[in-house]
Amino acid sequence: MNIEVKKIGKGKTLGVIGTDKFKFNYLALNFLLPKTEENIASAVILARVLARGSEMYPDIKSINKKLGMLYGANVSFTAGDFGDKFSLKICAGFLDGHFLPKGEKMDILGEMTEVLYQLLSRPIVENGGLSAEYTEQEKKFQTDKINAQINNKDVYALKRFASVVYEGTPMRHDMDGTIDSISAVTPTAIYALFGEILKKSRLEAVYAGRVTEEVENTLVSFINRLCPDREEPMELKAPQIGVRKYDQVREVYEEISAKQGRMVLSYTIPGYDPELSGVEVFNHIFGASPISRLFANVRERLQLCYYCMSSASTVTGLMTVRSGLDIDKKSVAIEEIERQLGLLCDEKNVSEEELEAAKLDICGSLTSLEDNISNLAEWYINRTVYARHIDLEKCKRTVNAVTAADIARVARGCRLNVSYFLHGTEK
Amino acid sequence: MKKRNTEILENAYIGEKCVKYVHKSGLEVYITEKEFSGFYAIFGTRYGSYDNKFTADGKEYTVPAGIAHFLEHKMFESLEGTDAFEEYAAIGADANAYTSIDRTAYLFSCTENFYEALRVLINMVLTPHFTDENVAKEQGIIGQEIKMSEDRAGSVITFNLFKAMYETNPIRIPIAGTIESIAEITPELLYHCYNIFYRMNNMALCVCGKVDAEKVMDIVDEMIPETAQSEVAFEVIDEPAEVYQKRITAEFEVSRPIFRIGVKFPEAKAEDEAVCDILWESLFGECEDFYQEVYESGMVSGYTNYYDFCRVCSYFVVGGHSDDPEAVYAKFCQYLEEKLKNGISEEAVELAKRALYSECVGNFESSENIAETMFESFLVGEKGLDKAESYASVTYGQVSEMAKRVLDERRFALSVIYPKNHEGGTV
Repeated sequence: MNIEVKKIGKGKTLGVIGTDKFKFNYLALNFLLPKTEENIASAVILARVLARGSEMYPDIKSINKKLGMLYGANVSFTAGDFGDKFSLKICAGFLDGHFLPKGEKMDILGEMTEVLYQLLSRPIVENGGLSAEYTEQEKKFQTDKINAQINNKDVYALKRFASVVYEGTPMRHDMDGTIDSISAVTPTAIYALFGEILKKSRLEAVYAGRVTEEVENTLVSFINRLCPDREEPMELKAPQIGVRKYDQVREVYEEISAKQGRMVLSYTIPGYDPELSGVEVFNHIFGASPISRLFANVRERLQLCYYCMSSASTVTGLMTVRSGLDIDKKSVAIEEIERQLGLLCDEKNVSEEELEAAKLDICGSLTSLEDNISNLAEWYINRTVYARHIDLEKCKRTVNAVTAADIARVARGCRLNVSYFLHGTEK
Repeated sequence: MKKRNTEILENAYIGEKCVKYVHKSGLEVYITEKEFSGFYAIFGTRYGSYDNKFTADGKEYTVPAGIAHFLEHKMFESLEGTDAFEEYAAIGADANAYTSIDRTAYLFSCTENFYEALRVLINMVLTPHFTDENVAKEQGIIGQEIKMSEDRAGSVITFNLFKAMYETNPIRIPIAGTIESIAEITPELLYHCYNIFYRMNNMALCVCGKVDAEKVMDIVDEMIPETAQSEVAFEVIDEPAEVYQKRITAEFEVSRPIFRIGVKFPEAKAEDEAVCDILWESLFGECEDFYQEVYESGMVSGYTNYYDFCRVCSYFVVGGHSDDPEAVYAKFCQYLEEKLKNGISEEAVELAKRALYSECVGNFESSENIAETMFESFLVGEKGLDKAESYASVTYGQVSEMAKRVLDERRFALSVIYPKNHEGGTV
């Protein structure tokens, strides 16, 4: 599947993924700016308020009715996270006109871009700011959402862990905002941010679906109507996120009313290069599959938990190990995790079978991107924003070039940095 | 080409076609040839957490809760001591399984070596291996899984709602069972349930991707014994139309009360599904007054609404977070009273039909969705390929009639989770 990158104007790019394979089409707009604590809170509320209404569609009912008439088209407005940058992210999914019920005809793309244009260029403005009523309501909803993080203990543990491990870096800013930062948001502040976004942000857009000359013209015209060329477009480059390293493992212990504890460990990997797939393959062997070292040993052999898995961030190069387990099993689990890591430091302990299985699985996931229109579009956006190439085949070649020596090198570089435990106090 | 008992299922309008093959054993095989990069296969049985009481070969049986889920966990181990996950991994396939109220399914996805993976799948399901040792091990792991679920407010509120709605239907028991019930499971019981429910005439194999249907059928003929067996008689549990109890509450570590309002409809049949789905969407979809009012007033956040239908149950749900769930319930009842008195608007029905038509078309958007759709249609006895048209052909009159049948307050129940130390205690 080809991805054609079109420069629409200065600081405005559109990726076009043409395919007849699907019955739905997908459009995403990412307006990118550097991240600060203040603008994250404003971005989160801005996204919510824009979705509430505009001059033409003054409330959610009228917006949803319009989308309903377009055969259940969906639109979402969120604040997207890109490491040291954030985006005002608008995503739209809609049925392709070829699959309307018999006898129906509709230019769904044309209608969708018009709805988006109305929502983005004609918001409800009053007294130099966006709607005060909608702003206050969405602030309350967002505050409720932040407070509700505690409802899901896995999510809560990860949020608490992130606040510790990303201290001092742009990643420390929770993309939900904080109670205080959300409380400080005002209608004029979000309107000002919106103005800045429309004039200065870098726009990375992507469309995936059936493509004709008419479709391309509609998209280009829509983007140009929406925002002018940027005067000094932000340069896209890989984020430089350096997490704080401790001489001794930083231990954090908290308690919560729950039946099961949650453990999250972070490992730093010095010299991490996102273009090299050694870390990705290593992570797969270590803890990202049902035949991984962590699953086979911590769960299956020692029966310490239902899950024990690892994930590696391509933004920070940090590896995280998560597990749901009781506190009396914590030290045995960490011992086993470290033991498995130690074994992988010697390439002789990396079997040909597990190395090949990891590569097959990762390459299979890359190939599968072509079977999911929104996943492929989002992969393209992530790669683009992080200034990486968008050649799927090249990605697979890089994965396949990883050796046992690379796995051992990554393992030797891993250092346990932070150990977080959320103890469940219920019996 | 061999002569086989095959049928071509087709929907030319949405461009979908499927080969249905009924093997001599009674196994139904659904093969959808699609030009996707990936493949997907499900081998599933009409057996879930509901089926704790059943009659087979002239005898009646009662087994511990959670046994269907337990069996699913154990199917990946073989007599030789190998793990099917390792076999899948060696050929680049990603495997998984799930158990729900009415089914258990074993599945894999891959981008190469499909036929080899299909053999692994079939072999795995045909060769169970249960020992005292591996059963004891799994009791520990599933015990951890049960604890994890008990920490999730989303799981607790749903099962509490089932407990309130249903008096005797096993849907009121969590799918994994309880620590006490799984302690009663033995290898003998597992083999017993396997021999009864994993009969080929109770199962379906659904595959999708760039497959050769003849080759798939050759593999099925080679590996599946032709022995026909007697059919399982599923217990049909008598449930009154009214709910068992109107209220059920619990306390949990949550930030704000969470609620679910359920409407019970045990007498629903497969042919009612489209009408019920459209009815609920036309009343509680995001285009409608109820959603607008509870959202804009701040009464409810995290709104959800859905209709669920399967072999063993049928019910409607509206839910979310609210400081005053009783007030939401009162509003819900009042809203429905008005709708019954004044009628549902034709526009609302039309919008619901469009949205759900689109959702049905979306069932053919990926190899996974297609395989799952065909499996679902096997389980409930409907034609998955024609679902979109069946939704499009529902009339306003049918929706109105269904509203009068179903919307009786005696069918309504409310499940609430309050924050800990909530005034008023629990019910």
